[in-house]
Amino acid sequence: MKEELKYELIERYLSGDLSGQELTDFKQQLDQDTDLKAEVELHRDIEIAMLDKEKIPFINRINNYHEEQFQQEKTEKTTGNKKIARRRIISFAVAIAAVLLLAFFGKNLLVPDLSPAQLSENTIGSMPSLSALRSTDGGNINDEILEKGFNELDKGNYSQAITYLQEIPAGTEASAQLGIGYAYMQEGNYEQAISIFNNIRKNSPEIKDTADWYLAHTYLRQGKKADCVKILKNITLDKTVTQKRQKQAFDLLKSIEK
Amino acid sequence: MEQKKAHKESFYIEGMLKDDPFIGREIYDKFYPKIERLVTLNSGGKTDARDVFQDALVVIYKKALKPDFILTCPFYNFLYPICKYIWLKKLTKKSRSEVTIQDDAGFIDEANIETVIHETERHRLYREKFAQLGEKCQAIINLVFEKKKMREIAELLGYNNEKTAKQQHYKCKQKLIKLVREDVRFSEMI
Repeated sequence: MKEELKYELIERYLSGDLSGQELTDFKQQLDQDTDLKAEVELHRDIEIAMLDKEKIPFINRINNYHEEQFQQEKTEKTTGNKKIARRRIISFAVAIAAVLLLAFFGKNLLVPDLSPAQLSENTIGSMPSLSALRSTDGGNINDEILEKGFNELDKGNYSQAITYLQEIPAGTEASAQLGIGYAYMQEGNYEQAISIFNNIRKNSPEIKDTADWYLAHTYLRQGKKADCVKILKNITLDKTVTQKRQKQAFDLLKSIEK
Repeated sequence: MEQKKAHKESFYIEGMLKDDPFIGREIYDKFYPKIERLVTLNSGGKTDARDVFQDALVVIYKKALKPDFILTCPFYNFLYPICKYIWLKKLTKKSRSEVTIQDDAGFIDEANIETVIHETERHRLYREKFAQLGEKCQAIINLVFEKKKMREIAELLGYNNEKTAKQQHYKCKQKLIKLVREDVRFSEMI
């Protein structure tokens, strides 16, 4: 085989550009020709050797985790020094309280089994924020109603929030739908909440990740752990989701799977 | 010959190659603290530990890119000796003398570590030879590795057309392989 053609074939084989009969023929040649096989291995080895670690996405991900941990340690160190005395007093008080509680409630208190609803409440984080959901400031009638609806959500008046947000025609404002879904979830009207979150996931990609997150919590509160885990795993695999959301999903997964 | 069987923890390797955030987080949370312990117990700081962990993952990632690679042991049993080797190398370089390190894991996979050492040495040789090429040759080889199209490469490097760029790439690659093969260390490595 002409040297230049051989190089070209090797390059194309390694980059996955050979297909069909050409690929079959080349593989057959590789099986028969040990020199060619060695040549291919050398090309591959060189290519791998030249791969800079900065260009490996997985390594960049690990670096981000390092960076996150470093920042966290830094913050803990700064705030830790100021709070150390106060923390000692609090720790002492907590220890006394723990001893007293143990005396009353026995050892079950040591390993409290959180119900799915409690776990969700502890991990769901903040309610949907209107400013984070909307990229534009409106100034129309919908914006006033939206704001009223989200204010009621904030106060925990879920029925009132639903009444306001339902005034906005469905399909015109995804954040209103998200608010309604959230309110239904908090009221325990899970089927309605699931239907709304699924609609958002289908029709409003800009807030899909938020809908995913609340949908996972709705399933968790319903006791449907498998459905919840499935959604959470999708969040951790979704490259368009923020790292903060991925970490929230990852931590919740760990708590569920404990 | 007996067929090697993939260990059930091969999912870590697949996750690395796919850049799976779930696996990434698990690898970090589960194994990094142990590696940090290895390094900090042996005259290193946290920054050293981070470098060692990262370099070991790069070694594993590169090994996993080869189609014949199979993880035959638990992931940590593969990761740990590589980290240990890397840290030992760095310590020896710092102190310019033989160093032993305190080890709280009772296993070292000699066969694995040997292939890692050979591979690292071989890759160092390739990089050394690559650095001997001219700037334009280095650029064209890198661009092809980055899967850039020949037409784009021709434009970027100022070649008349795709065909000229292709010929130039061939010549450069041929030169690199010649340099590698001519080095006496290469014949000892294969």
